[in-house]
Amino acid sequence: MKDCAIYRPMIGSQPGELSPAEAAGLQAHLGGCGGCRAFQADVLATEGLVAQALERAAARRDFAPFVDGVMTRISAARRPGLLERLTRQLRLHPRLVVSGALVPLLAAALALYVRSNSGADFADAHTLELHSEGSTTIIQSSDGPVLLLDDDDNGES
Amino acid sequence: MNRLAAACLALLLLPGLAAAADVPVRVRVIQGSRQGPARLDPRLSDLQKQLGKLAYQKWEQLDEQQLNMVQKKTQFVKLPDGNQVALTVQEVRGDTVTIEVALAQRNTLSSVTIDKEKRIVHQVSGEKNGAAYFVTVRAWP
Repeated sequence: MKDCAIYRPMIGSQPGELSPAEAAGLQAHLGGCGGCRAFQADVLATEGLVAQALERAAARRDFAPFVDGVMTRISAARRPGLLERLTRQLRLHPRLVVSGALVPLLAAALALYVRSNSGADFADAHTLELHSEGSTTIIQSSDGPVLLLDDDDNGES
Repeated sequence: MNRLAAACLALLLLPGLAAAADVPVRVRVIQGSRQGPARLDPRLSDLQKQLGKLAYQKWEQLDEQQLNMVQKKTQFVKLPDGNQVALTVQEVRGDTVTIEVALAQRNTLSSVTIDKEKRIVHQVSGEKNGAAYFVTVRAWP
């Protein structure tokens, strides 16, 4: 009975849990103790039932949504920035990216060029810039401006 | 592809080429006078509305030149008194042109922008004995 109190807790141990001396002692005790052998049989039967039940429960469980959820969270957490995406696209499709960037640039340059060469800015076609030491009188008429020089000391002689 | 490139190139270059083309300019030297009977030289009839605003009552055309002006390149028109008027087409945009009239003897520089239908009448001398010289400038006459 004293040996049963020592060895029964060791029954059901997993491989490696017991020292060689403990394992040898346990085997020797089980050889001579019918009560402990019956206890060992119960333990093994119970472990087998639990293992089978766990496997069945795991097999019934659908882990696909769980995996999808994890992947979604990973994707959201690691969404690359604009620069990273551009760099990746430039690395993968350099010609396409450069061409795509040139299109708006060329369009903007063309629009600017056309605008700078259009006559729209000259809607007021009577723009006058005068630089004179004396004074100048300007008469605006429907046929165009008349510019008159005021007589001064340096007047025509 | 080559045709498309050529078309794009032409589209970009044509406005520049057009801007660099010569600008025909009609320049007339006229004289206005306060003395004598009121009279308008028949050759100046198209200027009647502009000249009619001035105090001079007798108008005569003294000279006329047809110039083919290149942008930024100055051409000179000689006046009867020996002085010169420097004319420069500074800029052309569509139907408008900016013309610079410089009078060295008067230290005067006028930059005038007009459209195709308009002309400039510019006094180019001081009044002497009741008379003064003017030039009229019209692009694409």
